[in-house]
Amino acid sequence: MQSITSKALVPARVTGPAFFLLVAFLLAGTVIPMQAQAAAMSDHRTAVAALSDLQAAIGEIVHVDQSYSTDKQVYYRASQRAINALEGVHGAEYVATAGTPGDAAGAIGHIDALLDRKETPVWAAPLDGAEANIRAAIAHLADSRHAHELMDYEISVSRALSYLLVAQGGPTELGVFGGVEGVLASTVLGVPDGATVADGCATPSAAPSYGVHGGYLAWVAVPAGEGTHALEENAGETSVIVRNGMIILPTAAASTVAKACNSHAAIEPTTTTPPPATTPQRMAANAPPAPTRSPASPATAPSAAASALASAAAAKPMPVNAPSANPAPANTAATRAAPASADAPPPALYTKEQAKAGAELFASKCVSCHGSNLQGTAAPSVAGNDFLINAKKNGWTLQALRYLVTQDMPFNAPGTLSASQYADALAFLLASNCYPAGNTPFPTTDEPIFANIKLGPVPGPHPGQNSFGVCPDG
Amino acid sequence: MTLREQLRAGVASLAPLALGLSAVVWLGAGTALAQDTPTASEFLNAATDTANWILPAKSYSGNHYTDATQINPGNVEGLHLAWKTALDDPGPMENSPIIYNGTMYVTTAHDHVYSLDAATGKVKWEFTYSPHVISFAANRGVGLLDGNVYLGTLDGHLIALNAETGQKVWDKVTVADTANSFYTMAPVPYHDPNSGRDELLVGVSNGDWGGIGNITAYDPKDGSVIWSWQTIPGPGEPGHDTWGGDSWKRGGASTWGGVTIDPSTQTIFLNLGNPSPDFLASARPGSNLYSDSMVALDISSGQPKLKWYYQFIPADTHDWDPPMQPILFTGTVGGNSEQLVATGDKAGNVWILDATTGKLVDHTVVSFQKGQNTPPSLAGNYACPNTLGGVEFQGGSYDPATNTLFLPSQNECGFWTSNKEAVYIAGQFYLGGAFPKLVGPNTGQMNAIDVSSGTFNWRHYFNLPNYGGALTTASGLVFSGNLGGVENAFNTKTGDILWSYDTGGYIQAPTEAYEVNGQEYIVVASGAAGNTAIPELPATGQPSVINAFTLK
Repeated sequence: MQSITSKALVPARVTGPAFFLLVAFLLAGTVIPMQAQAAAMSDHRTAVAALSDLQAAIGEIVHVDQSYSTDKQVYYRASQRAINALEGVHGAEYVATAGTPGDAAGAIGHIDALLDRKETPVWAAPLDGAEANIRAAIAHLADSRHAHELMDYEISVSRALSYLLVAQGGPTELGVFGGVEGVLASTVLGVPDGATVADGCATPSAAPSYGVHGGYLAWVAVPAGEGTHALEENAGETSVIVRNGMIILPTAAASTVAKACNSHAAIEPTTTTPPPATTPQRMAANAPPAPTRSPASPATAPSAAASALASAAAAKPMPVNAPSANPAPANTAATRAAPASADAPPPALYTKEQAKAGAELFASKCVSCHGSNLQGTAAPSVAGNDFLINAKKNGWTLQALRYLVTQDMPFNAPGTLSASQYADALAFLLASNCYPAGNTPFPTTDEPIFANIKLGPVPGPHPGQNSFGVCPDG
Repeated sequence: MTLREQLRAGVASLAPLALGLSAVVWLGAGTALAQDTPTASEFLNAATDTANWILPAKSYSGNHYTDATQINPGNVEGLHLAWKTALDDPGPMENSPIIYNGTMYVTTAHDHVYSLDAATGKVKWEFTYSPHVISFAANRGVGLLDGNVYLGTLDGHLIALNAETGQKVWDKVTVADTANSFYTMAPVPYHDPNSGRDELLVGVSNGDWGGIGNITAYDPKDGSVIWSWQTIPGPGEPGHDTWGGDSWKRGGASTWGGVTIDPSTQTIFLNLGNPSPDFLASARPGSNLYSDSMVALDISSGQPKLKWYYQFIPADTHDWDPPMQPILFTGTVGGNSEQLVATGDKAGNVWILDATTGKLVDHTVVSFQKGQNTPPSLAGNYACPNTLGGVEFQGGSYDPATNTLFLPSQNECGFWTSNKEAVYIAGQFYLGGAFPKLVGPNTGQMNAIDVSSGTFNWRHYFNLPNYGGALTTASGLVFSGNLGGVENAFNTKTGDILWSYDTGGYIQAPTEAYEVNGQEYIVVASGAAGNTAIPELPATGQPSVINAFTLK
């Protein structure tokens, strides 16, 4: 545990990636040796050094991209420095004159030092995969040194970057690890030298301490309320537990460990290594496909449970964002529906039953900020004259409303309702804003026609409408 | 020289000029009565005036510190409720009461203004205004000047009310982008010694809605603009290249943290808000100046000039801006007396800068920090603090007797998600993701930070967030309210709690001290939790209340 006191941060104008790396090092609570000390270093420090070199390489190419330089040599030099940080002084592509933002061993040197042993720890497979991705990145970085046009350079370097991000890896919500960050977050490699290690099957009794079982890191316990801790940046923790004056952070490996503990069996990496959903997921977000199959990829994981997990991951890749992340512009489906004009009666988009269910949901999840009269206490109004006048003024569509509700609400707990609950809530809002009910339920997915439905005061008399302009919910 | 000595010295040299000019102002204002609102010299003297509290953080220095000594560690346990006034506008209470000559002016969440008798709490007049709320209903107070009470509103109006009657004098829309811009901060009265003009300094809230922040000086007579400074450099200006493409146009960096002024150098210090879209850095490549920065502006020439800036978090992806009014003080570092300016941020850091150069002097971590270098992802990830954690807007205080900075901080973690792209919808959040899901631990602490070392003299831990800022008295007390509704008094030297009172509401407003007829009072607002609501507390039913305490 280490709290940052100031004088360590004296460089007052450290900005951009350098700033983050500096903070990362301080937060990690680990001194990063800038010279090669591979032979003398502990496994933990070697892994941290590998991550540091990897991030230094990423920082180098990201930084040069933001320089807007017109000098080719600036870009070539950045690629070379990134290669140097990855390969270390013994690499075939290493060129000493460019200098290195990493250390002498390089990311590959550190990973090789870790893998060079008889046994096969649980972290060996992801590190093997990371090294393969780093080598692929080096090939593209080497190409980029000969690019004639900036566009060619950027193509090579963006490919290199996509490999490096896979190598860097990271734990995920699904409790799956990968890459160098992944092994630091969820295996014994993440335990700093001299730290208190406890049985990962047991409940933490002291803090700071690290719970380890079968080579996995199940949890980290830190004292509550004491500033910065010696934690890895992103441990993929699934929850934050406060107990007995400690903050307990279960890692992404916690559920794997719990299963092993329950069956009183040590974890065998060949049968329980979780599939690296990290890789496909990350790649889904970053476009290019995973270039080199990691030894720990789903295809090589024989366990039926692991396959089931993998297919679950594939079926539900982005649970929070998928339904609403990308409002579609008007397309063919939209043009089929008649555009809503000021005079035409608005379409019936929901059922009365949905609106009733939505009213109950509103009373439990929304009322504290939006008020029982829907006029807002701490938050804006969501129905009636004030809401509809502003909706018209700002050009809000039903698609925008649906996007905001499904994306941002409830405030302080976004994305926590089910798709059908969000549909009910939207039905309630439509009913309260005097939109007519019909026989077709409000859908759980975005519909292109929603982009054409502009919200505003609905013409005509509305029985039961109150003084705020709010209609009864059914 | 202590802070107080220095302020006195500075005031002494400025007073004759200021008094002369304010006399002219009174003549020009005609019917406005001198006893309704403070004079220019009273604003300059505000720090040492124990009776009145005429600026949001007592004085231009942003230091919630009073010379009052009537209530002290020896007798504070005898402090009891003097009066309690419930106000008829439910919502979060974030206001800093303004107290002048026995009258207290307070606001509620939907821009209602109340004039109260500061000795009894009796309502003298009420101004009711409930405009459209763009996002957060909150008002943090009013400004008193030239016989008027000035109010910035949730729909972007500046409104002048007669201080004696509450009648509207004028009302003007002063924001350019009405869909996204609103006011929560108190207008800050300032007398420009060069032009001889009175000004109202007001910053705009629009950062998380796709606007650009500014600080603007308005003419208190009619709301016309005297000068304005944009917080994001436009094309051709230094720093513009820290925004990729057109991203600067909706870059945020709003100005809602209050205005700290050094009248002796005619410098204002501002904390600027986070960049937008809040959670998606790829939509705004670069370090995004001057978001998440403190800036020092020279206002001696009639148009602000940037003297220095210090960016705390370049390319922020978690809405971790410094939300409080900077504290300007003379502290001791390395045995030397130095002019310093301090702030906290929502990432859980306290920063002390050299007020003359903007160089970093000290940095102290005051909250549980975690995952700070990993941007929110599509699948989501954890980071601490969340957007309600770290150091919040209520600010703190510097105590010259102990060379200590007092301010509370929160430990709250969040689960964050980003989107593939940021969608701009007029009048709605522009986030590129979602505000974090609260995951605990939702605790807080009061911190006493030794300015000479940046380390803690003491800390007091609470099992709930402690948003109440810090009021320090010269007698050796620190007052602060807990979100759970308990107002506490600490011993400045030991951190021991010497007195507590449960208001029954939730406290997220700063505490103040004032005197009426020679008797000292402590005042704090309580109300609903609003967007700081946490699962540990009941969600509804807290009325808006002003609580005043006194001895015997």
